[in-house]
Amino acid sequence: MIMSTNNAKQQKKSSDSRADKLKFYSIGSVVLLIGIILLVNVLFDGIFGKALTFDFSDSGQNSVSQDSINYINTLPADAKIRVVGLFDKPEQVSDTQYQYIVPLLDDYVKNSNGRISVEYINPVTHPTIITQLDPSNSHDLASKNGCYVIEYNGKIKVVSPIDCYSYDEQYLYQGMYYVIGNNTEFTFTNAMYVLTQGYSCKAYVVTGLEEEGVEYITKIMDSMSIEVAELQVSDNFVIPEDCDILVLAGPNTDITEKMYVAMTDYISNGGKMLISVNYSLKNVGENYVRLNKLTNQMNISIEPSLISENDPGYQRGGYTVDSVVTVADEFSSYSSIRLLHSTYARSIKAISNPNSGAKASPLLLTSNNASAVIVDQNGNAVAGSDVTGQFNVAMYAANEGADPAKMFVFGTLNFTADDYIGAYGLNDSNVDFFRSCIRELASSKTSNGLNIMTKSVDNYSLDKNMSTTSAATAMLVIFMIVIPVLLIALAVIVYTKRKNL
Amino acid sequence: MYAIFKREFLSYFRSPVGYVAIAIFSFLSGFIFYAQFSDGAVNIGSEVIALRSFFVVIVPIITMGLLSEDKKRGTDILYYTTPVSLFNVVVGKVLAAFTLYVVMFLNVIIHIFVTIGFGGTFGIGSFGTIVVFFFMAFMFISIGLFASAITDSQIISAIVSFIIILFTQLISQFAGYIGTAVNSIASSLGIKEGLASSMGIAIKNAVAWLDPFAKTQDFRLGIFSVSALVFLVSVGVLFLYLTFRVLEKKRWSQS
Repeated sequence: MIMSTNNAKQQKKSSDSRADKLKFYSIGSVVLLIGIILLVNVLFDGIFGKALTFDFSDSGQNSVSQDSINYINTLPADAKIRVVGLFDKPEQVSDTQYQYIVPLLDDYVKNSNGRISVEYINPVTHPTIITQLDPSNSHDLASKNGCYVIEYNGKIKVVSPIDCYSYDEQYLYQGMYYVIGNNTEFTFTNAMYVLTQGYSCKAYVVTGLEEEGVEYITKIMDSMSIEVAELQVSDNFVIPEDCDILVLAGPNTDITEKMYVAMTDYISNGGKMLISVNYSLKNVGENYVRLNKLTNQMNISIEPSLISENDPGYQRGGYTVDSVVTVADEFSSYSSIRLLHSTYARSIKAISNPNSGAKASPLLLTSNNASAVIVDQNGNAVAGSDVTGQFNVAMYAANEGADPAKMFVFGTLNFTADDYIGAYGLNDSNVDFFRSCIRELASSKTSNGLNIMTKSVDNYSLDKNMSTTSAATAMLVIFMIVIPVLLIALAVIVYTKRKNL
Repeated sequence: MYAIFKREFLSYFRSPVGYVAIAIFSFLSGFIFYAQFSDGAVNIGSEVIALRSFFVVIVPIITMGLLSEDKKRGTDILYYTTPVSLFNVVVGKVLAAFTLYVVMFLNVIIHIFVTIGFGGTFGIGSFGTIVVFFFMAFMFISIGLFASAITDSQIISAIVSFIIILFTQLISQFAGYIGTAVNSIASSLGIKEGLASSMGIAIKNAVAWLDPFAKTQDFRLGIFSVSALVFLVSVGVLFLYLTFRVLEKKRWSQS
């Protein structure tokens, strides 16, 4: 009896010991597996994470282009460009303004061989970052929450997410302009380029004449390594001595007498100007008397008439005021295509008086079947429509001499206005033509810069003719009612038939 | 393994569970598709990524009875007495639930054809979201199977898997709270503000690194990350192993 009790105890002890060993093995193996999985993932993420991340987007919006990579490769191996986002790194970027920015910046890091770093430092939790990046507080970084700062050798540039997109400013959707182009790479690469290469010349853009907005031409010139500053209209208007190019884009009122005197002086000393006006209901009554006196010195006249294109082959959408214009032969190298886009154009004429030393040439021309009309404040033609022929939409004039005055005058705002460039993007041929004009004015002072293109935003639109309201209703009925109800009915049938089995 | 897979997969359609799960998935995917369609633009990638949010509802339904039902009926004794390895049992059941997910996904395939038929696009970026969707399905089904293995009650199993999956969806938020808490505790212990803040951020980042939703969020933008897929597979394998250990425990604890 005692022996059998001892055997049972021994067996139980042996069994408990085996169970303990198995328990130990079981827990140990789970802990070991968790450790291995964590280690493998951390190592894989750290070593191969970026290398094994691929951009499958249709427009390559998450990858830097070869142009940017080529530029980065030209930088010295020890160059350090620091990109700092003045906010916490967003955990989810989809449907935010950072959705095209954060992944692209990661790709910059991946392709820079250590030359570019990206950090996210929130000034609220790390206030010292402000003084670290901008010791002189010249950029007021404290107010730039949500922006990126690019720093190179103590110089900085601030990039706002808004700078990274092109907007169609003619359409508001849910209180916002509709995004039509992704300029993230354009903005960041050009900002890095300017920081590392420096500016080659300086342009001043005149503001304060009810102009149509100069944001995009500022971006474009900045991307050409031209430093751009605004020159406000004032009683003490003076053109700074460091002004290499003066831009007067889309004024709706005439220049002041003081400005006329300053600009005349500027031109007579070999100044370079680009002027653009148009003929819209905002300025039908404006004859730009002083501005005309200025352009007359280069043998160019801005006419108080609207160009009406009568050739259907030149009209866009059947509109006489929205047409294509031809690039004059002399300037064919300015654009890859000869037909550009013009709307509400004012006629620009050549005059032979008073400057015999200036040569004015047509730049952009209508068809031979256009007319110039004068309209009233309501847009009704009141004179001039019976004279047809070819008109100039833009002209170029240059004085003779070693460093001559040069002037471009556009009768349309389609080359300089924010609403046009925003709607058509920075790859548009008109923008390309504008760049060529600026290069001509800056001549040897500016480098060719980089040719980073606007990327298209992924488009998932359906065919508007097919995706009607009734089609949407059909989708609602089929996918949200018919299919689920049929399946629930099947579930009920199965349950009823099998509940007693 | 095939016999277990076949039995489990067909059992979904011999009870209302399979039909109800597919009906819920159809309704939810149909809602997302309709919302996009009525706006005139359909991004299948966005639809698929949005559907990840409903794992928390559907996975508990289809996994709650996988092992707990056998335990309740006592038929789980067959795992240990028949010449089928526990590994095959676990894999067969996961495959059955996974195949049900594939059947559910036919809804999205129909949406893709409708989108293309209505002049929309379906690019390789959207294909990437489908790949990651199935990897996530594998991971969450493994979690659901584990929840089913630890109890003999289908309700408790569903609740456990619901809580675990819900937790994975909220990891990023929890990470923020944990980071703030660590920062506060470190500050109250007299650690310098900068160091305390760095500790908080480090802990927050470490916890947030575990978030499968954040890791796969950018797939809808066309970004295809292999390391995210490796993470999902790893976690799935871990829970399969945990399930295996739970079943194995019964063998040695009974001895």
